[in-house]
Amino acid sequence: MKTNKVTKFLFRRQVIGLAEMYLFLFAAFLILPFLFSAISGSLDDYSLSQQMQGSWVTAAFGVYMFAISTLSYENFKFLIQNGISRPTFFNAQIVVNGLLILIGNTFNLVYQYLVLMPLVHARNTNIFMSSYSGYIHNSILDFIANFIFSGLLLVVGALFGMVIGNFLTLFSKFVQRIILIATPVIGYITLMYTASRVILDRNFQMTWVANFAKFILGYRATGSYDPFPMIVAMVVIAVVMLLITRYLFSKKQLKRE
Amino acid sequence: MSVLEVNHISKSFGSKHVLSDINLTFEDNKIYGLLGRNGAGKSTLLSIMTNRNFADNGEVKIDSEDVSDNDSKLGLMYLMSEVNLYADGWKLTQIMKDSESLYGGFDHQLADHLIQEFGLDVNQKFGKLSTGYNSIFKLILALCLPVRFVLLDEPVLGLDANHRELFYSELIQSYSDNPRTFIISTHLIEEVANIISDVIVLDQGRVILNQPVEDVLAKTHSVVGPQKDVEQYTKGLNVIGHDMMGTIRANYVYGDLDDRILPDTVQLSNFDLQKLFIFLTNQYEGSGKNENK
Repeated sequence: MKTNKVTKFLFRRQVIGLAEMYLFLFAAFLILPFLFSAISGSLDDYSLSQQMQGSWVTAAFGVYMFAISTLSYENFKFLIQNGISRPTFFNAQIVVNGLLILIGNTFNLVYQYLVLMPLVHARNTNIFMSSYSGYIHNSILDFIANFIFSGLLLVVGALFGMVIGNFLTLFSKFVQRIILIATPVIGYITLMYTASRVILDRNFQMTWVANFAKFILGYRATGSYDPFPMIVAMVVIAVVMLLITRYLFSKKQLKRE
Repeated sequence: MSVLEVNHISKSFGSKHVLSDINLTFEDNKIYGLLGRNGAGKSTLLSIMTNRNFADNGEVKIDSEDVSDNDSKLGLMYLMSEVNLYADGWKLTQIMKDSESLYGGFDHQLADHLIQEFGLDVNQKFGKLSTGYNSIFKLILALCLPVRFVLLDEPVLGLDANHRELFYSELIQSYSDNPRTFIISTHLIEEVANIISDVIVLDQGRVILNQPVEDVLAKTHSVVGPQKDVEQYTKGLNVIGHDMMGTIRANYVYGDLDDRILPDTVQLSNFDLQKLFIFLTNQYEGSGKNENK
């Protein structure tokens, strides 16, 4: 009962945010260049189709989903003020993210098939099309696989954002800053150390990493990449991150600010 | 009939014990005053009761059911506190609509009346409110939402004397029209003394007093007279504080008096809740703690 109410509340807020983002992007990428061209007297150089060829329209949704997924504390504050429990918030947020991904993914693919592909005359306008589309030879099945693959990418991205955001909300702002500064530094040092070991140490070749990556990506020595290992890997990653997110939601509490 | 129980609640922040084994029962349709000095643990207790924060130990129950992550029980409480849980950019009208939706009701008639009485412009954003109107807005929500337990943490923060007076009179009217349980945490003891039916005093994370106000006041005795006579009369009684005015001494006793005879030179009367609170929580040198030195 309360999950429906919370879902409506969160969906309304986040779909408004999505609309605002698209309005801002259309203004920034389509209207502003037009205005600049008009002011500078180079209107002949302005091309609407050229402006729409960039991948910003489809990329924007992924960025938006990741960003809003990291931000949950403001909603938590409002909901706990209104007697809403953490599990209800979690369930509603998952439903809302699912609905938004359904809408955004549909919009992205429709935009790709109906706008981008006719404009660019290309068939590789996203990761699936550039890596996996040759595997399935039926165009309808290929579209369905593309839809599932793109949707799962968005799901994994959103859940990754939820894990990061909800993990950080467990800490004070000071500790958050330390984590945000220390993580890239430690990551960079680890990467550099690993890379140097791989180059300098013959016994430390980590071929299993490359083999595992090839397996996950569905790499085949001949022919097209197989999308299904990647789809299965994304489903497994999504389930693991969903469980981590649920745990992090259960630990949410008001911070002493 | 709903009962809110706090059972064995303890909470520490680092090495500091904020609450130690708190046990309280809040009965239906009463107005409780939750008093305590700064840092006594009042806000932490209210925050734990509404499941905003976790206790280290213990549980909070409504009608024998744990409130932790329990929508149906959490929906019976509203905690108005100085902590702002509404986003600055949200409009007041939208906050009211969303709160109504989540709580499943809202007394629009009372809200309109209060908005008019307090002169609140509900078409502005939450972040634009002054400290006083910020409190007023949250008080309106607290009084208009359909909850059984209204928890008010420093409800009159930033309110001028006129608005404070108006709030107390509207609170009594609202309670009279729709009896429910209020828990008011405040430092302005004199202002709530005539409103509350029960008083709970927290001191250093422990409950040191939890009784009906009437019973508490009946046990307060101010013994005034010549120093020698007063000391003689109060010997063996629970003297929690004293005042000296030249040769005249006032001993403040908390507890029942026995059948001892009152000397003609000594006057006996009750003292107020604020004075009792100050003595019990060791506010200044005439306090109970110093009496034992």
